[in-house]
Amino acid sequence: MMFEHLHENTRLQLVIGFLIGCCFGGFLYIGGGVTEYNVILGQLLLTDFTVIKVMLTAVVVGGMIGIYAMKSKGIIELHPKPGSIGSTVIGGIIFGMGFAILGYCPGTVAGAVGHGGPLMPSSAVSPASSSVQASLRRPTPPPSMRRFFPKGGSFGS
Amino acid sequence: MDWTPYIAGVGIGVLSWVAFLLSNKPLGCSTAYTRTSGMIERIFRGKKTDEKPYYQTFAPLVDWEWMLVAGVVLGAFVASVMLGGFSFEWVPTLFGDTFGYDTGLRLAVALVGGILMGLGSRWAGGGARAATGSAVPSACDIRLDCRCRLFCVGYCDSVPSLRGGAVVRRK
Repeated sequence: MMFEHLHENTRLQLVIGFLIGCCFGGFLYIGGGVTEYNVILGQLLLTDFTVIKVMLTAVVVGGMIGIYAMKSKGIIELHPKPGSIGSTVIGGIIFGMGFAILGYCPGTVAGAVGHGGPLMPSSAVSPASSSVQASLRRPTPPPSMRRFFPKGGSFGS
Repeated sequence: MDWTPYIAGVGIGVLSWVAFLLSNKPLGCSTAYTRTSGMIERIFRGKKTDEKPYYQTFAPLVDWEWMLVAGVVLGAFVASVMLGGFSFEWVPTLFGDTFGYDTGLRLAVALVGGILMGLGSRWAGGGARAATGSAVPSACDIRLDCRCRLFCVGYCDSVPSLRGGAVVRRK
């Protein structure tokens, strides 16, 4: 795999992460306002398709072309982790409800703060939600139900 | 035709290559918030915070993803100032026109949404995967876009398991 020495330089990685984030935030904002509550909710209401355009373009360019091309060339390695459809569906339903109620996802909420969006809700929400998540203990469901719970009880990445 | 969304999508897609190449990481955000809450909690509860099983795996400290989120804030700020779109907005117009311009109400609703979203992210094993999961039950693209953050994550959406792989390596 390429750039291994770079991956091991923890301090430099923080700088790289920050710079990539800056570009990311810029693209999010430029992309027709996908950091805007009205635009995101407009997508959910099927009145504004900006979000889906940005998303699908990124998926095609990022994943279907770029990542697999690099993988086939042996430049990068994929390292998937185990999961289950059950926990993904349940988590997805909860996430989707939260997303529609809040009007942002974790990435766009940061962009919204950046351009002066609903600063107070945005900044207050995430820590509160995260506290709840972090307080969760590993559930001990019966074996037949395990596929609906997060694997290993770590509650995610 | 407005090509801006497609240009932004290409930009984010290419950015995901760069992130994978230089940092071996997907463009994920949700764990950064959880780590932040751990940092805040540590101020009040001290070392007890670190004893939580979750934080033993995902320590409350500044990591690559945390810096990414910080960068998103700055990047959006700079872009909005340069393009003249920066403005403080407490209650979005769509919300205000529908439910009234009450900041307290908006905050309460946002909190409920944030808690659910955070919970869903962790349950599904990451926000990107949660986003993908929520696309399944709705059986259409409506929820998919919800995963707007996903879009950001590009490949994570098409191959959700990629995202977690980086985490496994981090341990």
